Amino acid sequence: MLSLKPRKKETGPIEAETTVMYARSGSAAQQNRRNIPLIVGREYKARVKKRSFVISTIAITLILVAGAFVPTIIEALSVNSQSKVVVINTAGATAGQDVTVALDNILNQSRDKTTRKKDFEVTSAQPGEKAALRQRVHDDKLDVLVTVGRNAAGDLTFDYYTNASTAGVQTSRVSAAISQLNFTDKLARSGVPQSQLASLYTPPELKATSTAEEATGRTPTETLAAYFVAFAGVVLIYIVVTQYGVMVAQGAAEEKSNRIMEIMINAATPFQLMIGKIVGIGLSGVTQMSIVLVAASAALLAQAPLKSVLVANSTSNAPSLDIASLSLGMLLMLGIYFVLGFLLYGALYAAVGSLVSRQEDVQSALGPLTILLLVSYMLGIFGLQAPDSSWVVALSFFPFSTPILMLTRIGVGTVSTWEVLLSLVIMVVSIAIMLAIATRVYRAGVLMYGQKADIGKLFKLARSK
Amino acid sequence: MSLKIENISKAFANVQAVRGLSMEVQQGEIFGFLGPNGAGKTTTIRQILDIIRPDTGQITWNGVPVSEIPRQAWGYLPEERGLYPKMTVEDQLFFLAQLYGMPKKQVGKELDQWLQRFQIEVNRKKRIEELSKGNQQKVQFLAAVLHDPEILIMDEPFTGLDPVNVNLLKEAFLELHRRGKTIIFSTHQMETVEELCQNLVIINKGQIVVGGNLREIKRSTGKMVVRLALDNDPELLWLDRIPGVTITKRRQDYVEMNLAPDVTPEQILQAASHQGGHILRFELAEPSLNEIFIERVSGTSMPDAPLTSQPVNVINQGAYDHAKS
Repeated sequence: MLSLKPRKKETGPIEAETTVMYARSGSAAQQNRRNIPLIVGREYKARVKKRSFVISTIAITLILVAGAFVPTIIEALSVNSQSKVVVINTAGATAGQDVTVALDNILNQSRDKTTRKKDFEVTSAQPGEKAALRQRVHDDKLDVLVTVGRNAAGDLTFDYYTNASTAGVQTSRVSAAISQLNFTDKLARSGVPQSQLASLYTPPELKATSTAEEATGRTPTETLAAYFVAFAGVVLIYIVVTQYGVMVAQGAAEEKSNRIMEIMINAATPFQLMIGKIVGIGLSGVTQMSIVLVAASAALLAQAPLKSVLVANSTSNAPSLDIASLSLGMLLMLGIYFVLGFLLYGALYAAVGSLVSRQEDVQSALGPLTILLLVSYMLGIFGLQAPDSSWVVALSFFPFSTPILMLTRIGVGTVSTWEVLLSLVIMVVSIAIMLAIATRVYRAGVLMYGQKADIGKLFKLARSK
Repeated sequence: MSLKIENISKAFANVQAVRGLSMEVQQGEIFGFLGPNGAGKTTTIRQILDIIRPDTGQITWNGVPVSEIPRQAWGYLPEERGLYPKMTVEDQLFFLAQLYGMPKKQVGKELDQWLQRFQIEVNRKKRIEELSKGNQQKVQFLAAVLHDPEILIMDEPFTGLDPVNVNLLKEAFLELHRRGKTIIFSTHQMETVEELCQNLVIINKGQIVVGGNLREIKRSTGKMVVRLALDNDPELLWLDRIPGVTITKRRQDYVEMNLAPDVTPEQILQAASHQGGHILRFELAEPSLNEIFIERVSGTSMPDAPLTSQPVNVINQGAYDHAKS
């Protein structure tokens, strides 16, 4: 039987309306401490297992390894080729030497005489053969035909015939030889004795001293290595931060758009989710770069022994990079600035990504950030040329350009220890602030759907509690 | 031993989502948390789970603020479902249960049991995106309960499931209830609430409009519902002239009325027998939760059938109009 008695309910206002705001620290302390490694692990595995990751890693590695082999192969192919030069001389001897012999000496003077073939094979011919020889030049049977004569003043004149471009390497080497020949001839005719002419082209004794190198205590090869690390570091930081920073933003947006975030935000704190994502994706970037760099370095190191096999005792005029001279300190700085830079930018990327509801909107929302990063990259490239200019020094303390510019300054400029330490302190403090702001934005952003993400919203959410 | 929500309010940029909401959920009960779309249910749930903080007021579990309760105590099935589509069922569930703080070994044991119960053992190594929608829902449910939470909050757990799976899920609900878990769930299916819940609240515009024990809520509406049908008179217009009787429905097969507290069903029965027809139907009923919901939320009761036919004479018409106004 039903009772018709109206019932008094207990859902009325609570007697004492206490307003209690409690701190987040309570929950943070109780949160499972293994959450961050768990999330890092998941993010890392999710990226590394992706087919696109595997394919791009293989592709980049192949391109770089091939790139390392190409110069060796070209050299191996070209070393056995020889330019044929025929000289028709009507000018007589120059400085008491036969013109053909003199040109032969000058053109081939830089080679290692014991093993390597001559770059130029120089032979002489009679004036009557000129027409036939020109035809041979035309038919690519002969590389260069030079006729030497004298004008009314007794100066040497040259006619140069080739089927290749007159702006090519071959032409420039022959014309340099001709100039030298002309110079020697003139000196001899004005009475400079033979003995002095011989030493004319001996390089002077030059002892170069760089105060910068004295300051850094680096040898010239070490300076070169440091420059190389700085340059590679600038490019590497830029590429990895852009590529993997975007992945951080996409990851946040993806979790929002497929709504897994609803569960994740219950199981873990926004800070854990964010830092786990940044570190996990950052590590996948480090993995890819390590694979690529190790493969490329191995390929580069393989070139010297390979050359000695293919090209017996090759000589190269380019300064060689000695791996041993890569200073450990410089590599360590690269590592430190890379990690700090990735954390700083990663937090920003994560915050922006958390504001976006759909994957497609990630790129456009990231626009301003991409520009910020691109500008500091350009500054880094310019900074390599002028590492001690005041604007580079000033901007190297601005946290968003510190990683790239400080690395540049350490690599090619002069920088004192306190400056490096100060920049590190600034970076660490900015990262802490940035993470705090980004966590707030992330907390609010991940539960917010359908609104347009822009920088204004970012600031608004950062201020909200 | 209860979850106590005391006078919480939460405002977003320009919306007051929850205002001065208080309720109490006893440990170990199945509690219905009802309300129309946009009433503030999700906002309240997120505050209980400490995903967002109330502007004012506090929420405690057994006297401890919810922000200090370990995450493992909470299980949450959000209304918007989502999992990592590229992860396998196993990886996914291990990851989430470990996040909540359950040791890996224990996860394995629990997982075996649950996968068997839900008959998705064969899908263990499959990626989420390869599963059917129903199986995805099951995995989603497991993601909420696998870490053995004390308090389960389920937002619309039965939507999108076929009847077989709805039963499977209800069984799981009751199993968890037997294990002493506290379950709070929201749904728009009032029959399910009537079937499962001892206590409930209905909220609208951020405030509680009805709350308490289900049976008492029905009684406290102060309504005695009577359904009556006579073979010679489908309209029963004479009912309008009895004070304290409010006709709620005139259907082809019966007329339904609410009785004021001073009118007894016997009086209606007597009056009906004086009309001279055979009584085809005489029925006492409680108002359904559906009716209470609609009435309290929209302030009107919903007609579920049009009137049967035109009134037969002018006098009756007038009486009808009078009673209606």
